[in-house]
Amino acid sequence: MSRKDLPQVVTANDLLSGVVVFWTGQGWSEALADALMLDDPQTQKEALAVAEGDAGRVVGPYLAAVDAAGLVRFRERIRITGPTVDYAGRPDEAGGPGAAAGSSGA
Amino acid sequence: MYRYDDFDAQFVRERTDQFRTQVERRLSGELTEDEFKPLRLMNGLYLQLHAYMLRVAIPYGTLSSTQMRRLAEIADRWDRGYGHFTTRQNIQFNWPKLKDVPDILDALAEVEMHAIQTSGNCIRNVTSDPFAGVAADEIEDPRATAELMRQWSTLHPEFSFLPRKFKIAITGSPNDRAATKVHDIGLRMVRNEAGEPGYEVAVGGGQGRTPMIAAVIRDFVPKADLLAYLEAIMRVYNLYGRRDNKYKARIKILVHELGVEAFTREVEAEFAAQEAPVTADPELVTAIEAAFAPPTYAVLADDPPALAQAKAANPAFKRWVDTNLMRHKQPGYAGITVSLKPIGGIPGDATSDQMRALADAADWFGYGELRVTHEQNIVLPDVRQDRLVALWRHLSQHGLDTANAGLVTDIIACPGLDYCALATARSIPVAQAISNRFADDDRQQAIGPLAIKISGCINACGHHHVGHIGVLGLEKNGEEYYQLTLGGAPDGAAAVGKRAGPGLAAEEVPDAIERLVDHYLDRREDDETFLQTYQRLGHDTFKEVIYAPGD
Ligand code: SF4
Repeated sequence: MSRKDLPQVVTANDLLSGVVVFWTGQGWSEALADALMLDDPQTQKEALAVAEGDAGRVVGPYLAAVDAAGLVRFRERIRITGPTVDYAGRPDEAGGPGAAAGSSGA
Repeated sequence: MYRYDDFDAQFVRERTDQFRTQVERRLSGELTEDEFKPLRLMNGLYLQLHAYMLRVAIPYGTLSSTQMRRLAEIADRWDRGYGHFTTRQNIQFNWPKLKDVPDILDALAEVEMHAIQTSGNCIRNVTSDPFAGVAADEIEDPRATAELMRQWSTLHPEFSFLPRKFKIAITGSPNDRAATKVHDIGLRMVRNEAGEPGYEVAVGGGQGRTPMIAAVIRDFVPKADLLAYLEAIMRVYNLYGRRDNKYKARIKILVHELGVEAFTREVEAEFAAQEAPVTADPELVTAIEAAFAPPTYAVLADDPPALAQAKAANPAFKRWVDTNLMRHKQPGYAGITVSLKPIGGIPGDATSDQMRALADAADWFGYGELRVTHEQNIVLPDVRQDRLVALWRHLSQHGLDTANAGLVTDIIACPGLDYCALATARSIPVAQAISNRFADDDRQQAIGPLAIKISGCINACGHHHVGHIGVLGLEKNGEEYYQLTLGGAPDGAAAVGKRAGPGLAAEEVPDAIERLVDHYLDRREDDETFLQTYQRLGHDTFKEVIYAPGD
């Protein structure tokens, strides 16, 4: 199945903080779990249009595919988990952003 | 060091005030994102994957201890306690909040810094040799010319809307430490037959998706004519450079399409036809040159006994001196590369504590000046040789004593997909894995000079095209993979690396590099470097070992 055929969520960056957010149907949340799942192209288009109208809150909304495991694209997963490397300023060591994506060990 | 004049100070203040208003208008909804985006980019503010990123200019890579301390404060107060030094000799903060950016810009302006002109189709921050002014092999400090070019190009009405961004690099030494041949214009100081200093001018170098080595279009331009000559180049570019296709808009494409000879003819004709060629006000030149006058050095001799004793007593110190020291113009002094490449670390990252330690080092062991290198390290330009051991002790307390300048673990890596919105793959974890693989000091020393450079996409911010071994991160079907290039060189006989076969998975990269290194160690003659052995044996023998595990 191509990514386009999968359910989608609308994601963007928060205007003030830059953090990654998801469209919940009513507003924006930092948690993917709160995101409104959009199954068909019509609702996807409509939700994106509504999100784009909320330019006072967010920057650059777009659709991202999800499957049972979460966001499909690797890039999108890094967007929510944060850098996969152990950078100096990581806010929370245990289970902080990035812990989920892990290091590739590459 | 060069200090702002009134014009600079006022200009930066005005821009910061304007940006504060622009942010307010964006937040109130008066400006749309489409209207606001070019304004924030002009002020160095990008949106990355997880957050905004602020890119702060460090003209020609030179900054004072006061400025470095301010960067540390900004990291602590408005970011996450660290910053990332880039191949453009800038610093990037990865987590600023939009509402704080005007305050950050104010804090920068107080120490004569800004984030202006680090984006857009204008002449960008001029980059230079990190050892400018102190290198033993230098003809003259090129930073006075770099500063003159900064003043000339800043807001130059003719050059604010070029077909594409424009990068100039300058070196005052015959040995090019500023990678001048991969810039839109590369200036290398030379002497003419009369012994007068001037510049060799090369045009049309660049990296990105179409890497090219700049062609020398003039062997010698007298210093006094340089700005006029540059204007001639810029005019030809403005006139003929392509604006229809972003990927064909850089001057390198123009030079390539016209041909070097025809391009040179156009420039020379434009130069000859100038009725009132731009010249720098001699008073201004004198003032700028005075700002870069060397400090009053003590009269000392090279290789003081104290240094020899300390080296004999302490092998780790000896290794660091032998690896990270640069010969200084002034007897008894040294230029020191402080490596921001600890084993397994993130290339170019420095914590606020490290920034303060570096500022202290510049004050205690030098004349309060630091340099950022395009290799993402920091240089302390003026350290007394008899105080090197004290400096080394200080640095080692802050994790800044890695003895690997120019060695296999001194890896350049762009932020890649861990931060960058344009990335196709991660760079940093690959750099870390290679660094860990070659952690052994003796082995690094045995391998000798080897430049590994990693980019997370075709934009080539990690300079992979000019790595002796280049690594380019790409993506296919949602998987990251890595394309190796071999034989690139940023300096001397600059060269673009050649692709070495199909891409590799991330975990295969350290093995492949290890095989390349082992092949070199097996085959090298006498004191050959990796690059020399590669050049002697040719591309194919090296390429083969990448794909021949267990060979
Ligand atoms: S090379 Fe690509 S991934 Fe790396 S910093 Fe530049 S744009 Fe981003």
